[in-house]
This record gives sequence, C-alpha cells and structure tokens, in this order.
Amino acid sequence: METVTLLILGLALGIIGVIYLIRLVTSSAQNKPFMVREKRESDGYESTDSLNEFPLTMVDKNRHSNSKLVSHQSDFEVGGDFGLNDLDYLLNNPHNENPQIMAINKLAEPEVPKPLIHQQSIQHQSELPEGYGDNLITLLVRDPEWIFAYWEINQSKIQEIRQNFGSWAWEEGQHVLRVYDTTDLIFNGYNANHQFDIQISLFSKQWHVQVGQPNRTYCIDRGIIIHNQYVVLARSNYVTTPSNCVSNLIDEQWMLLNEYDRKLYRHLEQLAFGVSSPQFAYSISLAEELANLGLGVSSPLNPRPTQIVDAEYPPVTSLIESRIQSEIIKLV
Amino acid sequence: MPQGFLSIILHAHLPYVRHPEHPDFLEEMWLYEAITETYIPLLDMFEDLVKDQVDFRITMSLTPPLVSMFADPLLQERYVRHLEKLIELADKEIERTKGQPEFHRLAWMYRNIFQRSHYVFCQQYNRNLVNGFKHFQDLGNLEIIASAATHGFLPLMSVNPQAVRAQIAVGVENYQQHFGKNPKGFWLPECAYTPGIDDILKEFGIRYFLTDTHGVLYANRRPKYGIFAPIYCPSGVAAFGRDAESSKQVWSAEEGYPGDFNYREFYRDIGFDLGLDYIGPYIHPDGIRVHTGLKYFRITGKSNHKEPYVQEWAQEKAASHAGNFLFNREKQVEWLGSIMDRQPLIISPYDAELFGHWWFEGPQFLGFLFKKLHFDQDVIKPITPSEYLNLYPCNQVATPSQSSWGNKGYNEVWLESSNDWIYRHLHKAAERMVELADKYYQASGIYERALNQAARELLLAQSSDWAFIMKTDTAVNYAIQRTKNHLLNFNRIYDEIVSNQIDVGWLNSLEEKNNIFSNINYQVYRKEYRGSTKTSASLSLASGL
Repeated sequence: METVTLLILGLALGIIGVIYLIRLVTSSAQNKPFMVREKRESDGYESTDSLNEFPLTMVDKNRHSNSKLVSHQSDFEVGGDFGLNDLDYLLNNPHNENPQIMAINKLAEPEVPKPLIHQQSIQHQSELPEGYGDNLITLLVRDPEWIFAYWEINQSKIQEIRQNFGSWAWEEGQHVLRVYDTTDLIFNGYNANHQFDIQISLFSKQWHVQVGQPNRTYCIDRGIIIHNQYVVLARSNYVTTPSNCVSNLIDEQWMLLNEYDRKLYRHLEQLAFGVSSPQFAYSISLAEELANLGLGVSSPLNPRPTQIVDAEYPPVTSLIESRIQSEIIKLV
Repeated sequence: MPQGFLSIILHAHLPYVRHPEHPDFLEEMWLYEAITETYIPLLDMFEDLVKDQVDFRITMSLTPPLVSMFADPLLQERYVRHLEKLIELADKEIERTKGQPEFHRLAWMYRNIFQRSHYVFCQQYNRNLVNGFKHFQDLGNLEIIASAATHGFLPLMSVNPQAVRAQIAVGVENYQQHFGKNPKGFWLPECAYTPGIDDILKEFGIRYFLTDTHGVLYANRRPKYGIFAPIYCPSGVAAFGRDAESSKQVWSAEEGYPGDFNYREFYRDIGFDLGLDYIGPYIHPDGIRVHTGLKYFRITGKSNHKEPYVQEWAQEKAASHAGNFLFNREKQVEWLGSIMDRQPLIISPYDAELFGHWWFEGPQFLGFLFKKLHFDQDVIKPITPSEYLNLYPCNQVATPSQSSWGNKGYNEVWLESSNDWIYRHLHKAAERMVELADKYYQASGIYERALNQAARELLLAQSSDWAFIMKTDTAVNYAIQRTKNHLLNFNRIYDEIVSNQIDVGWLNSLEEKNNIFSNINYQVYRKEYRGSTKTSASLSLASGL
C-alpha cells in the first residue's frame, strides 16, 4: 500500500516537474526574439535598458539641452532629424526605434482606408537593421546650400568614451556635429577655413545641415564634448556644394565679344532662374502667338484634379503622371 | 546649309515592375499603358516618317529596366492579354454608344488603336518592341543611347565609385546585348551629374551625356556658347545642356501646348466614369478603378464642364503647335546666329511618356514637327548629339556643375525627409557587394549565382524611382516595400554567402522573381574592375546576331 502511494506521489511530482519544464522552455522561447532584438539594437545605439537606468534629472537635463537646440535651428536648420522628440519617443517606445522608420512602418500597415493590392502581395519579410555595427559618418550633397549627414557610432566607441572619460561620459557629454569648411586645403583636423558646431541629441542618427555656401568643400565630425574636451567619434568624407550661378572664370581661348557674351548670358540667366514668361528680342511670346491664333490654353494639370475628383477618384496617380507633374511644377 | 540644329531627345524609362507571383499587379499597368499610348505610337510615327521619306533625327534613351521588360516573355504575354481585354471593352463601347455619334466615333477610334497596337506588337515586332526601336536605329533616323542599369541616382551613390561604375557597366552591357553595338551617348538618370561620373563614362567609350540647363550653364569655366554647344569635361566626354526655352513651350503648365482646350482630357476615363457592374471586368479584379485608356472628352476649358473629344480638331491643333514650335526655334537659331560664330544646337529633352500617355496628341505633334522641319524650311535641321560632335569635334573644356533635372535642379527630390533614410542602407549594401566581389572573385556554381543575384538585388534597390515616389507621395507603400525587399534580400544573400549556407530553394525563387540582367557578372563590383569597350566581333557574339 505504501509503495503504491509513494509511486502515485512520485508520478504526480514527475508530471508537475514535466509541466514546469515545458512552461519554462516555451516561455523562454517566447521571450527569445525580443531579447535577440534588443541585443541587436544596442549594437550601435543606446538600448532601452540603459535608458531606463537614466536618473530622472538626467532626462530633464537632456530636455533642457534640447530646447537650446531650438534656438540653433534658425542658423542650422533641422531637416529630417527628429532630435527634439527623441527622448519622448524613446520613453514611450520600448523598442527604441527611429521615429522616422516608425512612421514608415505605420504607412506600411494595412490600415489605410483603401488597401491596394500590392500591400497584400509584396509584404516585406522583416525590417531593415537599425545599424550595422559601424562607426562612421557619411555626407551627401543636397543642393548649393544644404548637405546631409548620417552616422552610426558603435558600441566599442561608446565603451571607449566611457573608459576614458567615466561611465556617464556618453550620456553627460554634449553631442555635436562639427562642420568644417575645408575648401582648397588638405585638412588635418585643425586647419579648417571656418568651422561651427551643431548640438544634437545623442539619439540623432542623421541631420540636414544648412551650410549656405555654394562651391565650398565640407567635412563633418560626429563628436562629443566632455568636460570642455572635444573628442572625434567619426570623421566624414568630403563633399563640395554645387554652383548656383554662372562662373566668372572665362577661358581666353573661348570667349565671345563682351557685348555678345552679355547678350547671351542675360538671356540664359533669365531662363535658368525661371522667369515665368520670358520675353525675348527675337521671339514672339508664345502666349501672344496663341492669342493671335485664337487658341485657348489651360493648364494641363493645375486646377483640374479638383474638378474631377469624386469619391471614386484614385488615391494615387501613375508614376508617369507624377514624373510629368513634378516636371511641370518645376518649370512653372 | 542650315543656320542651326535641333536635337529632340526622348527619355524612355519605367522602373522594373514584374510580379510573377501575382496574376494582376496594379503597378505593371504602368508598362502596359505606356506601350499602347507612347511606345507604339512613337514607332508608328517613325514608320510614317520613313514612308514619307522624311529625313528625321531623334535621340532616345531606352533604359535597361524598360528594355528588359520589353524583352520579358511573361510581361509580353500579360500585355497581349491586357490588350485583348481592351479590344473586348472597345467592342462593348461601340455597342453602348450607338445612340451617341460623338462617342460612338471615339469608341471606334479606340477600337482601331487597340487593334493596331495588337498587330504592331505581335506581328510587326514579334512581341518585343526592342526590335522596333532597333530597326529605326539601324535605318539611321534614331540614335538610342544607354543609361544606368536601374536608373540609379549616381551622385548620391558616388561615395562608392564602384557602385557608380557597376550601374554604368551593367547599363552599357545591357545596351550591347540588345542593340548589338557600343552606345555613343549616355542618359544620366534624372540628368544627375557630379564631377567624376564622366571619368567612368569615358572608360566605357561613351562620347556624350546630357545635363539640365544649369549643368552646362554653371560649368567652370564659363561656356562660351552657353548651352548652345557642348562642352568637354576634362575627361574628354562631352556634356550637352538642355535648352530651357523649348522645354518650357512643351512642359509649362501655363504656356505649354498640352493644355490646349482641344486636346484630350487625361482625367476623364471610363475606368472611373462608368458603373462598376459594367466596367468591373476591365479594372483591377479587387475593384480598384484604373485608367482603361478610353477617354472621351477634350479639355474644353478650365471648368468642370467637358465636351466630347473631336479627333480632327485636336489633330489640327497638333499641327499648328508643331508650326509654332518650329517658328520659335527658327527665330531662336537666327538670333543665336547673330551672336555665335558657329551653328548653334538646341537640345530639347523630354520624358518620352509625356508624348501619348499624358499628352495624347504628342506623337502626332512630333510627326508634324519632323515633317515641317524636312519640307517647310532650311533654317534649322534635326540632328543627334553625336552627329553634332562629328561636325564640331573641337569644343571648349569645362567642368559641368553638379545638377539634376529634378525640382530645384539639384538632389533634393531624392534626398529629403521622406526618403533620406534609404541611403545608409544602400551605401552599406554597396560596400558589402564590393567586399563580396573582392573576396569571392573566383566563385563558381551556386556561389556565383548567389553573388550575381546579390548584384541584381542591390541594383534594383538603387532605382531612383523609389526615392522619387516616396517624395511625390503617389505609390509610396509600393516604393518603400520595393526598397526594403531588395535590401533585405541582399542582406540575406550576404549573410548566407559569408556563412557558407546558401538556401538554394530561396535563391531559385529569387532568380525567377527578380530576373533582370540574366547575363550580369558580379565582378563589375570588384575594386580593380575598370570599364572597357568591346570590339564589334565580340558584340555581335554577345547580342546573338
């Protein structure tokens, strides 16, 4: 009798044990993807964990420094960066994602009122990585006055900062972009023609920088200022902003008589700068000509969409139309 | 001897959209619409001019994605099916409109257009429109120029010169394969130029490319003839700048020809106007309304009120606009002749799809223009840029300015808050591609296939179209997903190659799905790779002639 009870007891214990084990295994399997994800994110960026460790005062301090950044905006305006809202985003968003990427995710969700077919058919498998574990900053030219920078600072660089400047150095330092004008020189880090800093949040990943100068060469550091000491985290490639006017350099071998040159370029500049109705010595203006012919001209796109829009009008125009529309808009 | 020259240049491009996994894919319609409304009407116009013994010259860029779609059997099959449905719809329309002669005639017009398209596509060019364009190139009337592999925006990838070189190499290779010769000219996607690109073009034997007006106008040093003659980059490749004035006459929303009240109204299409029970089978199966191409109204005026389209009136307008365009070019050339000590050249580039698709009467306009140029005057002659270079081989050396033909003239359209996030990923992928090509430069078998597919995915992700669509807010989801999917595919192939674990089944499916550039060789991404020109013998071998 005793042995039977013992056996039953043992069996029951065994079953409980097995159930416990199964639960343990499944729960860890459920958690796993999240853990892996966080690991990857912390690869190049501050992870959620380290953010939670922020003392509250720290957060406030950062907010303060962000508000300083607003005054900076008038000089070096913030383009695609969301630096101001980064902290709010991070505090409300456990996955620490770039708000910009998040906005895109929102678009990709099938909540749009009129789902289009491609949303069902070419779903993307997963998301692009937040970073690649690189330590770099890259510049691209946007136009004669603006350049664009994106960067990634990796974990080992952050560790290096912590080791050399203290364990809170990364959070307490002033994060900056240091913009150098390196036109016509071999830059050694100290000999720029001109330089200025843009204060950024440590969570920023990219910035549209207004340099305001055509035909100049620029280089940007992603840096940090700790206890008045400036440290370069990464230095960019060099880019040169495009020209926005006719060159004053005239080729002796290739020049027109002064009078002709002036004539030709006055005419061309009018065109290039988009004078809407060019009147030329040689040409009857088109509008006049058309009026003589008694032709009516209306815009091929301007007011019409509003006239024809009805409930069934498609939310998208075709690619070709939008190409052509943007072309026309450019020329208006 | 003419007093000056005119180069009409049409840029024909659509992004590579091909979805075998889906029987009816909305964005594939871009191609079908453009074939019926633009490419076939242009070919018909060329044929008509040849028949009338008009000695015309036109230059066209046919981009590799477009050429690849022309040559793709699946898309050919789908286009024919699409056209057959349209013919069926036109038949129904002929019945439906019997009591309304003004619409009935138009239903017949469309019936004839679709039937003609079917004949031209299937019989005349054996389902591959490349044959058509090649035919007119061989006759000497059409100069086809090459373009970058997938219309990549080259200045924004130039941090990695190998990425630029690969776009150009694959584009030139694609040209050689389909047209059996070396290209003389190159269309820089979006006319986007930055110094250094010309050095790479030079490697491939390219003689010229085109820029927007300010690309040449703001060149350093100041070009003696403005945009009315080419300049040579220091590399020796010529740059031709777009003439802003002739562009304006066609493009401008205020003064442009396409807005004439007698021309066809683009926005009134029976795909939107008729009841779903009737039109249902001819729009997207999910009930998404699309343009069918049957449009019955003329622009009429600025109000909502639209009158039926009258073919004859529109045709007359196209003829008079061609006359006006020519008149203004003659005056322009005469004025320039008073300043310049050589025959000026007017460069007029347009999106090909403007003609026919957007501006229904556009191909007729061009036809009238070439006829008038040939028969009616001696002041100005049509020419291709390479012919002009033969005529005037000695040109000023100057470095063109960074520029594009996008809004505001630089890179902003492709680099602003809606699309700036793509570049870190595109650059990383290009860097990894170069790394793979250098590391596995002797790959064979499955590794070679994986490397080639990685190159395809990278190129497809680099299409400037995706960034453009994100910016213009049209088919944004599609553009974002295409960018992400190609990058994710690339990243996965990269991981698989590096970890020696290639998923063959998945690779097979990718090769089938994203099948552009069947002959691609990933070695174009090697650091030491440099372009070279091919001999005519190896070319005819490559193109199977």
